[in-house]
Amino acid sequence: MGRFIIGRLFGTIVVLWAIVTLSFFLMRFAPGGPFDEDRKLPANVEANKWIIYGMGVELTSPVAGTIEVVAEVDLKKTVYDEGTLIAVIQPETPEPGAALVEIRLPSDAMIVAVAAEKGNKVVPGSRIAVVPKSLWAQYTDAIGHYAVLDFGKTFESEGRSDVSEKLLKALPISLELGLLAMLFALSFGITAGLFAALRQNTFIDYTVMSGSMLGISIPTMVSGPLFIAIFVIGLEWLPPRGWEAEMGSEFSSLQHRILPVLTLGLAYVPTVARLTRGGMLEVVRSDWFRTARAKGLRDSTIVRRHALKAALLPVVSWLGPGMAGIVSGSVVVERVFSVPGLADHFILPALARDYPMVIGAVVLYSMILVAMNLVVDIAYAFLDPRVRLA
Amino acid sequence: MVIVGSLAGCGSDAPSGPAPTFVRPSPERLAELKGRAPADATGETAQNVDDYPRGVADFTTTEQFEGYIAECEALETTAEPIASNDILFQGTKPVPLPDMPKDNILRVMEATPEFIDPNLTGESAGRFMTAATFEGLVIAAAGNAPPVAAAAESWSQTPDGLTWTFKLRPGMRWSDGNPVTAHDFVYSWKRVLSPAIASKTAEQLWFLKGGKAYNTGSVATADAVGVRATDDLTLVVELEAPTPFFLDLLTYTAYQPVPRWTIEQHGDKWTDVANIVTNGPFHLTKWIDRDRVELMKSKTYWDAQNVALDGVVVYHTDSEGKNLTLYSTGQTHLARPLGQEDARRFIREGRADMRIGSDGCIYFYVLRVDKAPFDDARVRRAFNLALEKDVLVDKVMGMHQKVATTIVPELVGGFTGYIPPRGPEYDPDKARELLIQAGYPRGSGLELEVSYNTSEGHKKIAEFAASSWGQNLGAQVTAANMEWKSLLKKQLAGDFQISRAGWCPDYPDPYTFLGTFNSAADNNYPGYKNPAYDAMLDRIRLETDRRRRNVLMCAAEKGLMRDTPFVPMYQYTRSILLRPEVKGYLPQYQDHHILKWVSLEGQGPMRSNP
Repeated sequence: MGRFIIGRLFGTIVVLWAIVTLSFFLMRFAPGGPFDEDRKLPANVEANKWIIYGMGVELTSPVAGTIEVVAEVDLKKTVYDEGTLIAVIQPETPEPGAALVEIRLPSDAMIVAVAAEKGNKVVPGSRIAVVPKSLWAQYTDAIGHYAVLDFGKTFESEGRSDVSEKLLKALPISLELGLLAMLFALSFGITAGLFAALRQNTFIDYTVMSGSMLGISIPTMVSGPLFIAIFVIGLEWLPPRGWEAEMGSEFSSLQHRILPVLTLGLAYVPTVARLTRGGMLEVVRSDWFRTARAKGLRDSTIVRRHALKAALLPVVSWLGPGMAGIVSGSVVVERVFSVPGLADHFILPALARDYPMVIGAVVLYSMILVAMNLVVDIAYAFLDPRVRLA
Repeated sequence: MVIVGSLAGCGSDAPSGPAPTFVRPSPERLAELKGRAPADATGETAQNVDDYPRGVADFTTTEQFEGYIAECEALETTAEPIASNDILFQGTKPVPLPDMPKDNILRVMEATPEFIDPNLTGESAGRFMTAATFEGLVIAAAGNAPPVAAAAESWSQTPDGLTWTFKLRPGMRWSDGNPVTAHDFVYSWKRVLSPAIASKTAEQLWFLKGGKAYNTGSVATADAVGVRATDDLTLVVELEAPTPFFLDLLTYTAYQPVPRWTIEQHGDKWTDVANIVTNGPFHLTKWIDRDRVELMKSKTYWDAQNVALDGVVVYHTDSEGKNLTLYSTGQTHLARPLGQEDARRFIREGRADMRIGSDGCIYFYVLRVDKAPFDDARVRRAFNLALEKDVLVDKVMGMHQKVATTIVPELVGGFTGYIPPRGPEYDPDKARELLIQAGYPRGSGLELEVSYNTSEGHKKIAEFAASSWGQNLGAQVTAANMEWKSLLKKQLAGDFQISRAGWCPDYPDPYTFLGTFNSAADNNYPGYKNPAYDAMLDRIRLETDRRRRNVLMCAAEKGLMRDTPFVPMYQYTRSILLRPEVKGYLPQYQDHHILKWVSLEGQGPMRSNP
């Protein structure tokens, strides 16, 4: 068991590394930059951002003097060769044997901004130009931080909030929503599935199966607004949005949770019901079940003591992807009911090219997915004595 | 100056490439270097034809501008502001509204930002909350009236318009009890400009003397920035150039003061509820990320007796559908913005809480003037003439938008008494004739693409334009939608033929629109480079007589419309559902609403609005 878990953890690290690397480069190849806005930022204001997020470096003047010549450059479009001259400075006190100081490009690169203007006085440290770090340099800088789950500051917060801090604030909300929905789906789905299996080919079975067909076909983005129309606007029983009780409102936090949990849970009830029914049907037909009945045990006792455990194996193996699906599937539900969970962190940063946030969200989701699968594998071993982890 | 929290240590301390080498260039090398430098570095003027490689032969010339100046002189112009608080539509049919708590707390909705910090916040929702919690020297009045005194009691400027002196109101307090002084303003303004916090609103302070040099890193310290406190209550401001709209600029949130001691103590966390110190009419009391923000009336605000509301709740929203749900379930006092279909339905129904107000933004299509076929002015003019904008506004939009025939919206012109010249009207026959002259008879060979960012509204407009140009000109126009950042990349790179754009005023002055088409302007999307037009802009900038300035702007706009680097479409309007008990929430040219002027009828004291 221990060896199994260690092996899986090692595999997980490799998978996460591949995901991070892929996301890192894919993100940067998407058209448009993180600091592009319809009202274009002046080049040097944008350059300030490149520097504080560690994506660019400043070329500065080493001496006090006057800018003599500034080269004409095409900002952010052309990649210039190493050694391209950007500016020439006439120092105040020329060093012996060197009348002029040249500022040149340290490597092949684009130029983000040129701050030097002809005739300007400069002092040591004055900005001459800003050039981006190479993608590879950005990657090698970042990957070490990613390894310890430090994803840096989000662009959207103007570099004030930590990615991990934001994700950790939203994660409990999504987890709570997901777990409640899962509990709802399991209790409702398993009950319905058991009844359907034990009363196969009866009215109950047909009702459960056709009901679950209907449930599978209605996506949450339809059922959510439908519930709002019925329970919020029509009956006025429940609040339309949010997760916590509000000032001056008669609705409690619990009432805020009902609709999102119901909407999300209902989407998974059919799956659970069908899996339970299938698993139970198999058990009902098995030899040991018949033997137990022949020994005179009551159906309810057999189901409770023996059959349920065996019949739930398909549901348990579905739980891993199912739980991951429910946490990520809550994106739509969270958006419909304005639940401040992870959903926004998954969609909006990608559209805004908020690189650190995207990496953070991708890693978090991958970790949830991998962790759930691991938990299910372990649970499997407990439920079915035939399964041995090695 | 002190740099905020964890951002310190980056900025100018960042590692900066290998040290440049000391060399002595040969005379030939130096000559070569100078040859590669821009035109002004070699002592030539920017009038060099090479700087304006294309289309310059077509563009309006200096002589033609002189002619326009004479024409504009003859027009009836006024030097007085034309006040307009336009309500373009107000329904009359009463509708039942759900009950709301009567606790004198206004409930509104915004796409709430991640934080508020006057020096960093740029988007409108953040500025709405920053404007409620902090207070600058002057603040915007309700509606479209000139700014009114706030933290500053009085001010004066030197005759050259370059130095302004503000006297602060004595006895003002921050929410932690500290006095509000001129030093807080000096600290704040220099903080905005500091490269180390990389504020994207910094450009709003480039009007200050030395502001740009410090912000762009070419000067390492803020010492030379033109703002200083001569005593606790006197602020002296030096500007780069005369700026007739400086008072309006001061209403911008980046110019608000910030508490230095709090920022130094808490760094990035200074605007958290537990730490924040404010000087405005409201104080931040609750912040639930992406859910809601609560602002309560400040006890330390100097004019607290004139703040009618006890508090404000700002619900987070990000869709028009949610806005309507919030309003119709009695969660908020208003709903804005509304979906187009909903708004049109409410207008048809004439419901009493539906209002449409005028706005200072303009919607237009950019024509890239350095790419065929729009490098030919006749084609550009033809495309402008072939669009029946009345139909667009009435049938496609239907929210009382006004047709735009030029770039400056009437509402914005009104602030300086400027009456925009009338641009060309719909004339498909003339358009076809122009196309024949340009060598595209019946649109043969014209295969074009309109780029717009994904949105139902933009799509309808693009399809209308494409079909009009197809029918009237025979051009093959396809509408290509793309994601927002992709469109921006195309626009910034000039990689398009026709592209959607919207522009809103930074300050209430026509120059905010006209200046966009300066050759050197960052947002000159059409790539319009006309030295004669640039010269006109320079003249406008230096002109201090308001009437004469209006005449020059009129001539500049006439010349610009002759060159047609864009097709103006319509002037925006703002639709809102507003409960009748909300008073003082007037249409405003930037759609900014100062909560100090708002009250709830029958709950708490009423305000008589200026």
